[in-house]
Amino acid sequence: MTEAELIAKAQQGDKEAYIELIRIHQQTVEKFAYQCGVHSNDLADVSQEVFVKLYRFLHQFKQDRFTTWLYKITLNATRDYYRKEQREQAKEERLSVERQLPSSSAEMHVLNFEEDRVLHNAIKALDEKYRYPLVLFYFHELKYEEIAEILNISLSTVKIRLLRAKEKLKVVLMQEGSVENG
Amino acid sequence: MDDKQFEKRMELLKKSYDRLEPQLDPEAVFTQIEKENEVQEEQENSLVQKPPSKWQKSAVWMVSIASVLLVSVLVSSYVIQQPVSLSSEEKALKEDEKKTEEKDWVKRLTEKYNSKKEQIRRELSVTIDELNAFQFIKNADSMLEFYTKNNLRLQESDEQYLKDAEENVLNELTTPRRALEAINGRDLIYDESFTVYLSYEQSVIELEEFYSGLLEPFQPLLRKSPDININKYPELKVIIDAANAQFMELRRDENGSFYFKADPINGEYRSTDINNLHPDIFGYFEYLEKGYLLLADDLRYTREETARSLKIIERTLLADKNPDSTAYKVLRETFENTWLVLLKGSPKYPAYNGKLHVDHLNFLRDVADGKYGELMKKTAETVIKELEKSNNSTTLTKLSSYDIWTIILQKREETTGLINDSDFIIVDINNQEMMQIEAVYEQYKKSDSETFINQLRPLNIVSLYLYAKSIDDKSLEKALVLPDARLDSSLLDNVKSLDVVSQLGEYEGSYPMVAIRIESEQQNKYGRQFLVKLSKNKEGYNRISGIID
Repeated sequence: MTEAELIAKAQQGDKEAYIELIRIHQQTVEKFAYQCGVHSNDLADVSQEVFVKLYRFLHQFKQDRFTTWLYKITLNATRDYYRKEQREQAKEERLSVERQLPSSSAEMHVLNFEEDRVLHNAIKALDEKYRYPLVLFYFHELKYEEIAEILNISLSTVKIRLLRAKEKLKVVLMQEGSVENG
Repeated sequence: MDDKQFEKRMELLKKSYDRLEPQLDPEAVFTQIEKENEVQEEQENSLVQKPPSKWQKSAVWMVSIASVLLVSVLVSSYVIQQPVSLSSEEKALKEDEKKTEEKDWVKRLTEKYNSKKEQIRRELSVTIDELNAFQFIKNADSMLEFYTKNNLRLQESDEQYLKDAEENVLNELTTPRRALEAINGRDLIYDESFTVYLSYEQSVIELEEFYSGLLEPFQPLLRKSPDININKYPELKVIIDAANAQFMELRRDENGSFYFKADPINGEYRSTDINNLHPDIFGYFEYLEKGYLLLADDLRYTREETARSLKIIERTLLADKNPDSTAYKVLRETFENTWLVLLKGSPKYPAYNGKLHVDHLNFLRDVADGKYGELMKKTAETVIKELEKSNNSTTLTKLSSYDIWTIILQKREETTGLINDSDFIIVDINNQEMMQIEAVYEQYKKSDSETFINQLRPLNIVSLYLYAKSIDDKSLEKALVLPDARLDSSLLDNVKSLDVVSQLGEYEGSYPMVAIRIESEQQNKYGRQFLVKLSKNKEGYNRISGIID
């Protein structure tokens, strides 16, 4: 069954068709969420939110824009996640509870190589306006036009932000490299 | 790093991402959907069922009248049906209301935005096209577009979201002057001051370049007589007034060309609000005002000016609690590299001229006296002592940016508590972890020791080192340390069990470094934390090369 047929069937309430759609797209969603900064332990929860929301909006989709919607919903879900994280952090700080830090060691299971972890963290540290275009361009191989649509920004802004994101990332990587060599 | 190397690193990371194991169970999505559906149904039912108790009373009352008056019966039957039809009408009404509210919100925000943009255009004395060409304005435009055209987000929105969105959009639209005016006479804490700095930084460089560019036709005139009466040249006056309003003053570069530079702290047009910023923030402003302190391998400014700038930067480096931000890293890198050049000498300020330059020695003495901050004092003292003893300083020869970074870390530990945890991969030393360390030790005993150690991560090298200390295995201790390293491990010599260690943290970056954190009850005896430095041996494998308490 083609994806278009699956979408059409899912729109008519076919559960199996929707589950199949999830299977096709879950890696994209999880990868994107992870690259946007969602912690690996929370990926399943965030992805679940994405697919539940997607289901609620399913009747509105036009098939040719399905992936765009998927990215947009994931983006919003990661933003909600961030806000929640920030609130939690603020709460913890107020209560002076020392933060538990299983996060970094957990990341080691996801990214096996030190170089990858350095780069992943550098990307995570970028301002979101630079991080999202970079992630979509390099790791999801989307065209400028698609990125512009997902992020609701103009084509030229996409290009400029990509350029700046690269510059910023290079500075960090060179710094890591120079200290390593120094 | 060239583009090719960069692309390669991104490609490799992409491959690693592609290996991510799926985490979501698709069936769980449906379980949640069904659960939410049930809750929704219950709510809807309760909405429809609730009124009847009220309506039933009316019905009883009306039916009793109906026995007398037929008209009343008709009325009551009409009223009884109302709850159902009202509910669907209400829904439609509410949806319409929500859409209208959203439209109103978009309209109101766009009006506010456009009005602020027009005020900024006048403030900067630019045309609308010039304004729209600024990148910082384009960014603000994009943000407005994002929030106002993202209908999906609006559908899920709540009041707080709309409030935050409005604040985000309007804050993005700013100028250097507006960024600092936002202080509004309040004494700001550090984090608030950093937000002000980011807002200021957003537009200042672009505006400096813009106004400096506008000076181009007037350069011959200015060069001829820098003290001209600008009132005679209205076009030039407009440019200078607009730049001055953004704290920029007219300066002359080494080629005699004029340009604008903002200096809101010490400049002629400095901001009155600046003193309300937290004093620890000024390192960022200093860097922004001075730009790069090095040009090729030499200093851009005089040695003393440079050292004074570094003193300001030092304070920020010690105080900022977010050392993994890009801004911090850039500042730290500037600090490390510039101090290296200052201490080792440069073509303009050579350290040696056959023998040690007197000027340079005097400068080192100033540093050792603390004239230029605290961080490099001790290093300068050591260098002077070595020079006095043998006219040569190994410390100076071997000094690297890595050493300066270590000095910053040590000092930060004293002033701000533990080193930022986000930089470290933390492992709690509990029973399970101790058993693992013992297992690693057993493996080591069974295998070729050298090859086994070569495969270990820095964190495992250090945990094995601590274990070797606790069981007094001198040969393992020796094997884990660089042959020529001079370690001061006297405090660790007392470690008779790993129980005294609460956590080990491996620096998450390219620097091989491991922090040993001591259990709170044991801190009086051992201290709070040790940093273990690792370096590559001749074969390129990590070994312990230093311990800092």
